[in-house]
Amino acid sequence: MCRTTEDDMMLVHDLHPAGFVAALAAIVLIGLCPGACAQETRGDLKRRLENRRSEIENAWLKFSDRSLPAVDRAMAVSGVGSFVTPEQAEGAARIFKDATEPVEIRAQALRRIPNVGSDPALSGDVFRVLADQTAPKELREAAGDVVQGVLISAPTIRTRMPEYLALLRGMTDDADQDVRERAFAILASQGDDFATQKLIESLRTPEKAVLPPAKSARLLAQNPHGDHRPVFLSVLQQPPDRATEVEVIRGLGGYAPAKDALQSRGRDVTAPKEVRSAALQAMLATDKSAFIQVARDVVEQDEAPDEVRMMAIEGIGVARRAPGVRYDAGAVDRAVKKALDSKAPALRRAAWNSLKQFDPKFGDYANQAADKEPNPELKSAFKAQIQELRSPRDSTTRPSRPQR
Amino acid sequence: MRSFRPTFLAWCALLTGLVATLPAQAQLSVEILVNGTEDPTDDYVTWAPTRCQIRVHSSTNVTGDVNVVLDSPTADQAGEVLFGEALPFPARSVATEEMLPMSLPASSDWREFVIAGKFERPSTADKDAVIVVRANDPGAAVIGEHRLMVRVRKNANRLTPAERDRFLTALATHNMVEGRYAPYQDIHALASSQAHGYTAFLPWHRAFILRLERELQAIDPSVALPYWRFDEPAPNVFNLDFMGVSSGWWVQFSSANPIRLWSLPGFVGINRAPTFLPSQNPLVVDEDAIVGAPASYWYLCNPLESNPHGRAHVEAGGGGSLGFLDTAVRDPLFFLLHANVDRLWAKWQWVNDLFDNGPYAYWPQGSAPSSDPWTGHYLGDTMWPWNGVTGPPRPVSAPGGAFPVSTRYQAPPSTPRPASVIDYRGRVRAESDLGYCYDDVPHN
Repeated sequence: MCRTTEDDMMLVHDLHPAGFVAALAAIVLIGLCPGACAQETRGDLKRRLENRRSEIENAWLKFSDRSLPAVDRAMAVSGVGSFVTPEQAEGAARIFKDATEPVEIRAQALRRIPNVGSDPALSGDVFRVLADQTAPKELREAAGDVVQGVLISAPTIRTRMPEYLALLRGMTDDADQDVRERAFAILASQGDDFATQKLIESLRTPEKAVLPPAKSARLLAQNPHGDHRPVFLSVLQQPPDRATEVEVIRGLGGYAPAKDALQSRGRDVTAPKEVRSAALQAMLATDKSAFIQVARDVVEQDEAPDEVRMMAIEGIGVARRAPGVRYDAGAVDRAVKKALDSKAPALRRAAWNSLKQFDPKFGDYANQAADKEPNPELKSAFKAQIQELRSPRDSTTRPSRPQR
Repeated sequence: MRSFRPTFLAWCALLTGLVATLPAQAQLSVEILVNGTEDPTDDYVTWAPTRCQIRVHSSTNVTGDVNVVLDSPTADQAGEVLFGEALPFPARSVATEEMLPMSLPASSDWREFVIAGKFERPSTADKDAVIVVRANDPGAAVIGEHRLMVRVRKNANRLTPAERDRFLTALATHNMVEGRYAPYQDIHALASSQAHGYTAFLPWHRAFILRLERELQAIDPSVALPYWRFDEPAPNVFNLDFMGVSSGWWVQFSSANPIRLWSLPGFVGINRAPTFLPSQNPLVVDEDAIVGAPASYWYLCNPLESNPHGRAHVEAGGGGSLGFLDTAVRDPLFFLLHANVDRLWAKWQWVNDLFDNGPYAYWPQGSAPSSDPWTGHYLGDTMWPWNGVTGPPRPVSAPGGAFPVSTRYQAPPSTPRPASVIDYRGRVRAESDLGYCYDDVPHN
């Protein structure tokens, strides 16, 4: 542990005058050398923390001063994440509720009130601002952020949830799409049936949609409680647009009845790459043995986008390491080996890495593969790896001793 | 003072002794045990003192005590340890010496000493620190070496690429290969009032993230949970090679990122809609304001849970998984965020020296009266789900089983209580050490 300068000075007092000068010079040098004794003591830290509280108090005094222009008041708290003392918190709550204050200042005050969740009356006020279609957008946005924060940090508010959920349901047809999305997101995270049904309706009948279908699918997938996947599977038969198709595919990961649909999307050379990538990733989460079969075919598809083939190779690497996965290792290695001849360097690198890790015969052809690698950088990396494989570090050798 | 003049006989005796011991000195070697075992998988230390033993190797033929000096040489980016004498192990004993002279008996009996990671000199690679033993003086020949790692939780924004990749690889293996991550989501989604909204918020999450860290260390022992310091910009965290970059909703990763194919049952990928750019930080209470909270637990826990914790979730997650309690764990950023929350508690503990189980360090004391809705939050209550208790006021099920007991650390027990995790570095009782520390929170 570093000693403090005060400690050093105490030692210095006991020294001979010549030693005193030398020691003083040493202390000055240590002080000049950044990091030489950088550790902050408890005392240093406590002083810094006190200074910080003073800074926040000064910022609060400026912010709460109505005689100052709004821009100056806002600027005063730009470096303050939250007020800290009860007096500051109460003052900020008063400003938030004061309709005569500028909207920007009210929003800034709301964002800096600590512990909204522990004040039921204030929580209710914030929910009501969020639900109030006549409230200024900036204030509603701040209210939305604060409400979401309260729900994650003070779930005790759930005792009043029926009241709040009713307010949020009322916001699902708000004129402002951002507010609608926020309301749906919160409701979906709470597993709210009303919101789930409305989102499913949006997904099935786009003409009645309260949100674009892709966004409805995203929010449905957010609900950890409900089972939206049968709906997703039926939407996948005839998706309204590509974005929605990708979202429902992602939501089907791990859903066994979707396996066939995901396999065919993953293999489909006519499907767009984002659809195929999503399908492969969803397959990997659903059935690793089946994934390897699909991925093997994809790796062998010369016409498949490099990005999709690379994802297939990487996914194979993940699946092969999982316990209980059944596959024909030789066939997989042969397929991956073909990718060493592809045009994309990144794909060749992925194939090389995979073979190096899994193919027991890798040593037989590694040199030849490295020799024919056209990219000089890759070639030298491959050669270096071969060298490493041939002379593994002797684990019994003591590592060379670092010098002080 | 009369100077010492050895007699002729004394010189003869000394020369004879030297000649007699020369062959033995040539073969001299020592053995070192870290944590009292020969098992190299537990040779990981923090800033907290760790017990070690040393002896002259049993095959060495020496007579009389052997004087040795223990040292931990410095090398760029390598970990370094300090030494201390093995006093009867009071929890507050420390290792503060750069070198430690010791006298070892020829009988090969073990002698004890303690080591601790040197603050601000953690390891960056597995077993990059070394204890070097020399005979007699610091310049003499090396007669023994023992490699170990000073493993601490670090600021995620400052990890070396190798540290970052080891962490991500372990995380990807844990979830994608071993399939052990999904229960964390189930536990946190069900935890609700067992882990939030009151005082067990901090101890419950301390245990929760420690469990993941220990499972990652079973995959790669050189890994420690990094923390996302959310009151500072973290461009090295929010980039394609680490926690990814949000493209508005779905997070994008580089092709080399081990968590690129991240998925959980029913949810493929990571969604995040942060309100700040990778070069910025969310608008949260800054560290000094939190750590400077009055020295009484209630004044820390409640504000900390609200802001910065809740605010960081919402600003980083937006409408995505991290922004909601029931889905937050889907995004592995959750663990970096909560490591920082835990660090803030740890730093506040250090500033106020509150590692005991007294009312300033934790509140409420005692155990919950029966059917108290805050059961689980009292100091002596067992914490769900590790206690396996279900039914009101506990949740309907308890996924994940008991807390896995470590072979290296006695704490926490399989059914942890808030009281089990407060003294996380074993400052009050050595056996309370949970085996982790933070790069910027000293031990003493």
